[in-house]
Amino acid sequence: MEQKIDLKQLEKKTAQEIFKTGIVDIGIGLVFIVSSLVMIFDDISYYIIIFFIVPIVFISLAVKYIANPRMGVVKFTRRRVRNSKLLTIIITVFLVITVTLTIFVGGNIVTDLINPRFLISSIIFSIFVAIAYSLNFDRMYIYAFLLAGAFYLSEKIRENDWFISEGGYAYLFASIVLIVIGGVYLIRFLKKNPLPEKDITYDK
Amino acid sequence: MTNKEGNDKQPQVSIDKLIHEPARLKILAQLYVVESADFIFIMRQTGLTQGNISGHLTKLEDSEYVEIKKGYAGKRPQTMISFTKKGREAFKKYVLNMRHLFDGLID
Repeated sequence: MEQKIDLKQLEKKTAQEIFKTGIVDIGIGLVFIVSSLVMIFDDISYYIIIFFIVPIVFISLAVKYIANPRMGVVKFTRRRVRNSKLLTIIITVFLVITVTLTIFVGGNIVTDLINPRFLISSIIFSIFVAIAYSLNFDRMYIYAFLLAGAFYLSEKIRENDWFISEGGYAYLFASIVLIVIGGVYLIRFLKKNPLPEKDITYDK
Repeated sequence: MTNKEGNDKQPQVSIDKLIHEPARLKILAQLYVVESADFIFIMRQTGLTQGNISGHLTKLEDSEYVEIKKGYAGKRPQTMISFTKKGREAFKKYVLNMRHLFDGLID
């Protein structure tokens, strides 16, 4: 055998396979496009939940029709599934808080009480780091920094009222970067893993 | 080293030859780190061909090391493969035996 088999590394590598498709990057990019549009156009804040459905539907369909037929299907160990479920619960709680705050910010309810954008950005940053750590999604650490940068920029724009008046454009830029990176990964994945011409299955 | 018979022979080490074959070892190592995987996933991850994997899976299934379930994902046929309890234990034992075999090996 030419290469060493490291089972821990193999498990990590297997878990990372889905991230090689770029679908998750694009999905998260879409989430942030929605968020940035809400920041830019305050009057759509109340429809944010409807807009969030788009990225979720995109990820579900892309995994089912793009990733699975090319990459195959894998079910992870109970330990990893349990960790993922725990992470999903944490993220859902954070997202509900974020959406609620965003709606209140849209209605200018909490603006005077706290710095809501700082709070929301901190929650989003924490979510990204949690995802990166739990799912061994290394690229996500870069996205966490990217969005922290977007936060910093959006605050600067809001305070200084530069050539653009709305900080949401910084998030829009960050989300476009995510989608472009995801797109590059998706193209690479499609080139590397063409759809099998015939049904590949076990023949005894 | 002297064995039970008093001969200067190397000690007997139990190596499961069914697992020891390189291609099967690749397949089983991949299966060990997941609950189950379908045929395409195993093929992509190991780099082995369809015929090659089928041949090895037949041997592993006959030895009750893996369980193979055929079904459909939409209109496409899907074969899910997983370790049996016996197979998982055998793989664990194989890994331990291999470690013991080379314990104390000088660089």
